[in-house]
Amino acid sequence: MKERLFYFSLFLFSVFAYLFNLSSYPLLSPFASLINRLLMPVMELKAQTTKKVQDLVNTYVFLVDTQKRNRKLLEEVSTLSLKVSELEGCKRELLQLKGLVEEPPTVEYTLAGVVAYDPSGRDEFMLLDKGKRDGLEEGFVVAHRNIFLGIVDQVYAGTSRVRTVWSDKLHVSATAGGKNYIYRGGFPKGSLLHVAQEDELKKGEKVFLRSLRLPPLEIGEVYEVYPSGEQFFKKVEVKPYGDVRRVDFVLVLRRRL
Amino acid sequence: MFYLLLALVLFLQSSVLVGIFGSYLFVPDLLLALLFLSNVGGPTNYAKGFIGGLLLDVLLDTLGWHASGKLLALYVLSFIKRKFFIETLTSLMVAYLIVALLEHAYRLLLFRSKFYYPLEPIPFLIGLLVELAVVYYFGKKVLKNET
Repeated sequence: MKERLFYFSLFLFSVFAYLFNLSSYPLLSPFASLINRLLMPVMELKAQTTKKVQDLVNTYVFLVDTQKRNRKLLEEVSTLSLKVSELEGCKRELLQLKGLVEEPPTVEYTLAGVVAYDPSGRDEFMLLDKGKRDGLEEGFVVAHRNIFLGIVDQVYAGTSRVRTVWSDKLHVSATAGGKNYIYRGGFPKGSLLHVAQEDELKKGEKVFLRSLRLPPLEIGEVYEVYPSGEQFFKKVEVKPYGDVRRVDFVLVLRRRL
Repeated sequence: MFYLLLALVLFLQSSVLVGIFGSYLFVPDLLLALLFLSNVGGPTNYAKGFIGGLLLDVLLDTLGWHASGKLLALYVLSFIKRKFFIETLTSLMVAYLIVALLEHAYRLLLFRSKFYYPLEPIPFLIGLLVELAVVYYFGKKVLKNET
């Protein structure tokens, strides 16, 4: 019972000491400062440990927060890069359309988009998103600005196939150096057929599509002239200008050659 | 052994845990858990409680706060021991929960009578859960040793 009373009085004393901040009383302060001095190394160690632990916790929280933010930013970046690539595609298409519309041909035409290319990689044909429904017919000339690309050779309901200047099945009448020839397509070079030995065709000479009812269209330029084994003709290689895979839109001139 | 553990617990509670929990109001009271486990069987030793509390008060510069709290907790524990048998883990945990809630409530009230500090329930609950986990883990061993 005495022990309990003693500890109860200690309890009351503790409450009193806390409420009235007994350690700062002038009578007790020398005693408190002595204890503080004695415990100084422990207190310093305690303060350092607390600071280090706090720093570690703060760093951990900061890193977790940064990781979350990084993940969010990465998602945003991938979304934005997708949008950028979409916008770049749109910009490219708009530039092409602008180029086509700025210099419209004098004949009636249809603007068509390219939906597919030759899967063999030889660019022998391409598919357009316009067909019979849009009034396209076989034999119509396909161009991009003032460059001849090919001829519509098959027309379906909603699409049509264009035989390009790179196909060896394409034969058109062409003009080069003031004389008319037959241009035969080919990959990687086309050629002019039946060029007489005395014709003075030079490298770099422009080759045009020959047509009386169409505006002048460039096919390409003479790439090389070889003396062939034949008696009368020489071999003339032509590098076509039409870069099929860079083209997203073409003009289909609504006239046959 | 008790005083060695006491020194370790005091250092841990006054430095490491304060760093983690930010305020010593919500730090898990490992000293209370130690006193509870060392007094749950046999007679209640108030001296150990008072010394432990006083040392923690010296380290935290809160003279009387922990000392009175620990004495109160030991009074409550002594009362519970007189009325109930604490022989299973469940009864041990319930007894600790009662003692801890009373002690923490008392200390918070004492603190709020002097200072204002916002009461944050989540850190307080986390601290209490840590204490309960410690008592659960070491309480099993204490009960095993007693049997």
